[in-house]
Amino acid sequence: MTSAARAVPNPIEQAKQIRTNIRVSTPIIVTENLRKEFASPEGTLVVVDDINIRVDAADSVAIVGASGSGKSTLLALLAGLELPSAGRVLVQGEDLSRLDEDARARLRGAHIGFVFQQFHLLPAYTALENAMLPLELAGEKDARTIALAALEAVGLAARRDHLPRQLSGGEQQRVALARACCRRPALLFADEPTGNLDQHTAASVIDLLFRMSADFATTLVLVTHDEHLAARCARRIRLDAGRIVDG
Amino acid sequence: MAEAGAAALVRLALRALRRDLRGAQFVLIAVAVALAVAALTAVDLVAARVRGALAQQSSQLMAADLALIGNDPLPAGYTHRARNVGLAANDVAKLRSMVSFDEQLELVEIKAAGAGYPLRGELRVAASRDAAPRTARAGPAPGTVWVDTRFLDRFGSGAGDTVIVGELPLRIAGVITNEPDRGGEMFSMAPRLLMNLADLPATGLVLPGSRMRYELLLAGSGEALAAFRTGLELAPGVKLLTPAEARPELRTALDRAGQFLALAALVALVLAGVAILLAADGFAREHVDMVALLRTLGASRGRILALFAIELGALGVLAAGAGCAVGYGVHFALVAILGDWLGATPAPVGFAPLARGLVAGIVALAGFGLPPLWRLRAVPAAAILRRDPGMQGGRLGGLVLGLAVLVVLAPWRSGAWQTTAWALAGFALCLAGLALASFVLLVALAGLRPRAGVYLAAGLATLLRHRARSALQITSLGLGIAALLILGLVRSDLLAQWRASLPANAPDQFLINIQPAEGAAITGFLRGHGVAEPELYPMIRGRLVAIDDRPVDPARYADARTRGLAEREFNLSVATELKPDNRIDAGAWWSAGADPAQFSIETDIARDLGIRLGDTLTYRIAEKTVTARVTSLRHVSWDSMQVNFFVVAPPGLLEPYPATLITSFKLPPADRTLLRDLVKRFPSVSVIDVAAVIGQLRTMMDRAARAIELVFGFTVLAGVVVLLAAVQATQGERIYTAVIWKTFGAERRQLLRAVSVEFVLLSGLAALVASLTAYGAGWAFATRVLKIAYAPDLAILPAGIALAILGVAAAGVYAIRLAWAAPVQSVLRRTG
Repeated sequence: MTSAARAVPNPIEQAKQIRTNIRVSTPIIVTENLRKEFASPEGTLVVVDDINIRVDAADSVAIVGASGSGKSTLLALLAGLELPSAGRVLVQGEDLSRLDEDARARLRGAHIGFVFQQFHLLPAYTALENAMLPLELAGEKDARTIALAALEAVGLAARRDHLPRQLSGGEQQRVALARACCRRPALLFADEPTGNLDQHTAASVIDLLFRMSADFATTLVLVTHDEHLAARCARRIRLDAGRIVDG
Repeated sequence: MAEAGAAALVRLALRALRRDLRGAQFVLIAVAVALAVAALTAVDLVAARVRGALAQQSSQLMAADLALIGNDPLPAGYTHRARNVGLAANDVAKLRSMVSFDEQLELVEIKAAGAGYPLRGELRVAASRDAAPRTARAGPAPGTVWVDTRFLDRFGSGAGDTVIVGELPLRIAGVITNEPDRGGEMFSMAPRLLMNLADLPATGLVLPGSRMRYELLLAGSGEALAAFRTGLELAPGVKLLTPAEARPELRTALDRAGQFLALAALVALVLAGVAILLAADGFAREHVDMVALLRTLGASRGRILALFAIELGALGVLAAGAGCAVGYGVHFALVAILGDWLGATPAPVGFAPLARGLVAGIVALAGFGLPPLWRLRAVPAAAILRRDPGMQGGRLGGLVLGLAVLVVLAPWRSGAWQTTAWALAGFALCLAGLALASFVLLVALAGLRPRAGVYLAAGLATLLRHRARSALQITSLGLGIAALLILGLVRSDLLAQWRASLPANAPDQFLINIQPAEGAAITGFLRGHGVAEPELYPMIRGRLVAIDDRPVDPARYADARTRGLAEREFNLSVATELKPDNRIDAGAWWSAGADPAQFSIETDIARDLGIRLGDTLTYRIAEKTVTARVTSLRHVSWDSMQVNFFVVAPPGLLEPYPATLITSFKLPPADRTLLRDLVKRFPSVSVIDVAAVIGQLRTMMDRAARAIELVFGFTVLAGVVVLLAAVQATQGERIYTAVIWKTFGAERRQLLRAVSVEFVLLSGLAALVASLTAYGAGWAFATRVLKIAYAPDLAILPAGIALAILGVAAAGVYAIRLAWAAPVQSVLRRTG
């Protein structure tokens, strides 16, 4: 966060400005011959195989496929939560396999936001504390103000002191969205973000997700098995048994 | 689910056990039980061996493991009984008689010993005064005697001379340099003559009315000794002497060491319980979903509880069994370390400690482990639908129940009711204080949260989320820390007390029979030989004839020793100031210029003789009587080896009566010639050399101190287990937090800082309250049980607090390293 950035009164406007300055054709994610396998009692299990994709900045990509097709594992590999067994992932030109755990964490903290199907809010933290977490970890001095603005943006400023168990599923996912977006990430990963929500709540969360990623000019990578949701993305990558069959 | 029969339930439980042993919490319970039992068994076994070794060493000081004593010849039945159970037995007769040499007559302490003397300890004899001593395997041959150097000094005789004992001429064949059982009689003034028991009848000294003391010395294995004592009936006038009774100053040391070791074992048990409670609490939390599912499937609460109880019981047997085996192995390792002083043949300890360890482990598991599981019965089937099932409350109840189990278990284990009562009262106090303080502190911390930075807020969030659980953690950790601090405080006191009571400059030479006119010359002589300010005490021999004008009748006292005290002359003395190794138990010490008609009596002898504060005592001194009131009762630290008296009067009361002087000093080891010069220059003065006795006592105390250090170290290890249990119990949550932090960009050092703050808070709170309660409980234990002055080294408290915080933080850091390594994706999926 630069001091010039802070001079801009509306953080959302400011983020938009920064994103539009980036050349749209710059690839933010590139994978080369990506493969992930696990040892299992039945032998080696190949979960993701021979994945070559390129995602450009401000793009929106849906990774679709049946259960067990390797969607979530691919997402974990793209985010550096897991390392590939073979091949490589480049995020903003950085080869994740060459970074150590701390460096990957720094990269995530600086550029990546997450939304999970199970929300994954810390149960001991209030809504505000959950939203503040990435800002505080980055040493942001105005963490509280920014997180409050993010909660405001998802309509939960009034519930800021509530613990996750005091919030509904939809509310928890909105807090998670505020947490994911409060650092205006270049890249947002969403893993079945509506999988645990009813249709009506899911629709409002998805609207919010797309609006926020558009506002911040954030690249969105979304894992889902919901074709309607996938259809809202600019691009679709279909997986079957760990391989790309379409896209 | 249809209600399963008992066999089906057991099958289910065993299957659950196999599955749960793959999970961290159950393994942790198993490890807690196993380690606790291992610690307990090893402490118990080592303590038993140490007790055995201490007893063995004090056996050497009475030349036997056990002795029967009496004033009349002991019935032969005792010897037969001893030999029948496999004990070695040896007769000894002792008397005081005049012995003549070269027309001189001197009163001599005669010991007539059978062939096997001594059964324990080392008798060392030299061929002449200047020859090198050798270890004697048996006493002198018939027709010969061995004498000590005091005898040679007194008679001016030497090896090869013939002395007349009664009517029998006997040749001096050796000079005794070390007599194992002389210690108890070190203040007797007469020289020693050791002769063969077979020669005794020919001396003609054994006559009706002779003041004889007969001893049957016994030695053998612990089992044989126990067999001998079982059902033993003592004839009138026969007394059984055990090593602990042989030497009062040693008995005190042994008692205190024993009590401390008992406390250490008890603390190990408490620590075990705390570890089990923490782990079981974590286990219960992890099984909420499973219980909810079972409830959904139709299992009754009773069945579910039975399932867990069977599973826990099976685990208890396995883990405690493994713990016993480990403890037994560890004890061998410890024995190997201590080897040289535990003796070449370690004292047999039997399997009782193993059995006790096993039972204690299972009972402690039930007492501390079942309450957390009991709370699972409140889990409703509906909990399957939500993540936070509200299984609140009842945590501290687990600690209370666990401690209640200890109340039943502990005395049986430690065998020391008083120690146990005080220790448990201390724990109860700690528990109440810790529980209250942790709640108050958590409420106070909640106020800090809005203003806290990210790391402090993270720590506070974890602590405050489940206040009851945090209170349990703080209380448990605090209890563990308090237990260790109590041991630490009391241990330092005990060791300091020992060091202080037998300082390096403790006197090892006593000069008695100093005529008042010789006093100044003796002082000058000693100063001239580098002895700093020798102090002379007057000694007046008097016999107690009346208490409150009622004549003292020795026959009235049932106890032989007390009867002896009533019959014999006391050494009375005069003092202005209370000596530093004396302490007033009742009444008050006199001020300068007070009424001289006062006595201060040593507390134990006053109790034995039935003398109370305020009684009037009449002593006969040199055919006159002197009467005065008892105005104080004094505790005397006999183990200080300083000159002390049972009866002391203020200046002005005893001056008219004939007195001799006594003094003591520390002889520089290189200056043995001083003694010979002294005897030459002051022939009427008697020198009593107790250097060897002091050496024995010091070795003994050093070893007891090492034993205490060792057992203490082991209990500290048990404390470390509690620490790990406390950290591990919340590890699941910590891993989850770590993964979320990592996902949102936290580096490892950031996680480490957050966890350090959490653990420093947790352990700091626990240690703070623990140190306060430990100080109080330590006072109670030191003054009420060990009966030592409580002047704890207060530096132990901040050091203990710092160590506790460091220890917990280190354990937390280790835990977070494990959490950091956890694969993100699988954790997120599992905890979804």
